[in-house]
Amino acid sequence: MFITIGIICILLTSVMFVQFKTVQVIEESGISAMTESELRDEYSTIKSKTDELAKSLEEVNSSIKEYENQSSNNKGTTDLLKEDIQKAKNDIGYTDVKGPGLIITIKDGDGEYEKVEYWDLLFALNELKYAGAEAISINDSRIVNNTYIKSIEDNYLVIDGPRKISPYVIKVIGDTKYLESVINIKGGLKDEMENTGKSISYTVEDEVSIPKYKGKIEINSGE
Amino acid sequence: MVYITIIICSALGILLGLNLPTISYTYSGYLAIAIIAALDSVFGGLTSILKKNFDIRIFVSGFFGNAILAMLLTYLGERLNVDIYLAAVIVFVGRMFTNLSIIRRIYIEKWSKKYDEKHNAKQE
Repeated sequence: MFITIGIICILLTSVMFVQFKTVQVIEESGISAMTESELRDEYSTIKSKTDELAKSLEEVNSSIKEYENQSSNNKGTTDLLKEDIQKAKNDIGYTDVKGPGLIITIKDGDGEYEKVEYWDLLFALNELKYAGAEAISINDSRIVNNTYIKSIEDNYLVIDGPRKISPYVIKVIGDTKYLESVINIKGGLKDEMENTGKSISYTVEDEVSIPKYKGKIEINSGE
Repeated sequence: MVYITIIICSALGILLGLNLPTISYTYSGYLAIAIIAALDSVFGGLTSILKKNFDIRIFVSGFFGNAILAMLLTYLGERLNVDIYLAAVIVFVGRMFTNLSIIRRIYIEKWSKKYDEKHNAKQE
């Protein structure tokens, strides 16, 4: 009888303290304590906000275009300037682009240590750039010169802000022959991913469309 | 002897609980309801000790049976999108209050009896 009561006491108090600890952790971490409906509300408000912001961005862009048109009375030189601007925008990733290229899909493996990490994506980007990639996007995030890929608390990856999860779809425009070769070469992208348990597949497309960079590139400190 | 066992084992339980890892948020709800059910059984056991009809078999089966049943009901409620765990909480907490009031009454009666006896002895 003492043993039974003792076991029950240990069980009850230990479970209670585990629960106390869990509740404390949840209170500290915030979002995971929200109920499903709260999260849904939050999601819908954020979504409508982003829609509004996208609309206002569109308006601003159209007014910029208007100003450009107004100022283009002086045709010859402004045309040249416009061309230059367009080219510069293309180069830094401010425009949607289309062209022949590859669509590569990299997926997490099943094992615990077979998740796609930021260094895998950085490796992939570097390989593709080496093969002369002209424009790259990962899950519709355009990769530009100041793009960062960072892992947050070892849980998920962010690319320039938004959170990305597996599968990672990398769209790349460039010479498909070169691009394919860096994937298939011994010790290349395919080997590297499959050796560490991730799965990778790609298709060659005649026309891949890559969205423009949605952020803003600002240079404040440098001249 | 029983009290010593309870205190030592509770202390052991606290130490163990503080060293165990935390569980995920999804399961903490089930654990909470199981704790309430178990506490209800403990108060029921205390009452039956005072009433002198305590049976360890009934106590143990109630302790685990109530906890498991409460968790199953919570799971069912989650599937059905009804907060059934509220019913379990109301029943268990309500019973806890009833048991507490019974315990309180028994002790008050005991003490008042003792007081009366002393008082009467003095007067005589």
